[in-house]
Amino acid sequence: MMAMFFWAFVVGGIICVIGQIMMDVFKLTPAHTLSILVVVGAILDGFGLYEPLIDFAGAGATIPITSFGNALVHGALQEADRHGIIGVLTGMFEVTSAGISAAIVFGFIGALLFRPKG
Amino acid sequence: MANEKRKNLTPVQQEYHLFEKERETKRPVFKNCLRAFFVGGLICAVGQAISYFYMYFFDFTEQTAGNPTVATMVFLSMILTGIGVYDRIAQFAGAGSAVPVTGFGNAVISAAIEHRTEGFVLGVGSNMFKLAGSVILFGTFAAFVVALVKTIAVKWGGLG
Amino acid sequence: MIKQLIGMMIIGLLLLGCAREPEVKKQSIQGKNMIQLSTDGTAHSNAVSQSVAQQAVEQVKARKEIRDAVAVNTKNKLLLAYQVKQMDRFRMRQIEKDVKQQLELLFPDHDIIVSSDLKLFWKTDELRGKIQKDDMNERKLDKQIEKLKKLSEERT
Repeated sequence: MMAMFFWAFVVGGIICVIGQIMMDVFKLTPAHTLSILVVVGAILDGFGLYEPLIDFAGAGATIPITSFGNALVHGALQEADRHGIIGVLTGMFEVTSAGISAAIVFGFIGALLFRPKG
Repeated sequence: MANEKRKNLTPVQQEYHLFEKERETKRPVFKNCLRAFFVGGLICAVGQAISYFYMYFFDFTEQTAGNPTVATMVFLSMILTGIGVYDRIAQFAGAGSAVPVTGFGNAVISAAIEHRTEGFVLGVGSNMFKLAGSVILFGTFAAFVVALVKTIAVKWGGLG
Repeated sequence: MIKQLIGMMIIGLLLLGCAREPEVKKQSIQGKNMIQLSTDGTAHSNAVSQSVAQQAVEQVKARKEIRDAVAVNTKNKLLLAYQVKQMDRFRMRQIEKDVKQQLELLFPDHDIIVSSDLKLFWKTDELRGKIQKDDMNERKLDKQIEKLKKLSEERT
């Protein structure tokens, strides 16, 4: 179990370093960096490579934004399995809903609770 | 700056260019990466702890603990953003705090808080996804293409 | 600078607070393992014969990717949960298939449920403890195994 923490730390850290290199060396804006990472996550899942990484590193692979792309593809494929090609469209947000809905709900609550600074 | 362009400059200007290059603050790439690694790793380790918490005290498995973990992380990010701590962390850690979902949450939540003075519909509602919108757009579209290609390949190509 | 430090301290505290919990858990699991040392991942009980589970655990533990395994069985069901060594977790799905196939060959007249999930591992161990204490009869056990089967099949 301690090994799990260690690898979550290392894998999560490495993904963040990749993001930092994209920002510092290739001079991309954060929005570009995050978008590219999400796309990379989706492509990795297309080749079936992201799931083993989650098995190995747990939160180290599910917490970085790359897992967002992975989850989108996953939901789409799951649904496509059941309902054929239409499922690709309808199943997309099946798995991912947590991150987005949490961001929307807490974002609004945050706007109610806190005042802008400066 | 390309060399050809520089030949057209006067000697004084060339001198100034060298002077400028010398004094320009270089981005401390290695140091930034180190910081991103530690802060990003730390956030992921916290996430791992939260998912173990859900597995131990509730009926979540390794498979299903992901969703409540992400929601909890976004909640924590709301608190930290609201009291202004997340921005400090972001200044220190760069991508280390932007790449995890907490960074996604921070982008949404800080935009929501910032535009609150413009009203809830026109301010909060329409500005919330300023940065996160591009992530959602490209993520969704890429996922659509990948899933479509894979489904077609499996169904008609006999792959998989 | 001071504000930065305060920020980092808060994260540190958060991490400490969260990290302690799994540590406590870990100790308790280790404690359980210490008690278990005399046994072998199966319960010995008269109410429900556990010889099938015992055999299954022996067979599965012989695989080099498996760190630990625990199993319970009824007359026609066998539930086995195992932990994969960290470096083999990349191949977890393949291993799950292999283990299931192996057990299906060994016990063709049992309904086999295997899982590599930590939660299932904890729960199965709990069940094993209850059987050990003769706290279980065939029907109750059957119900519990069904419940865990459903849990193991849940996907996000």
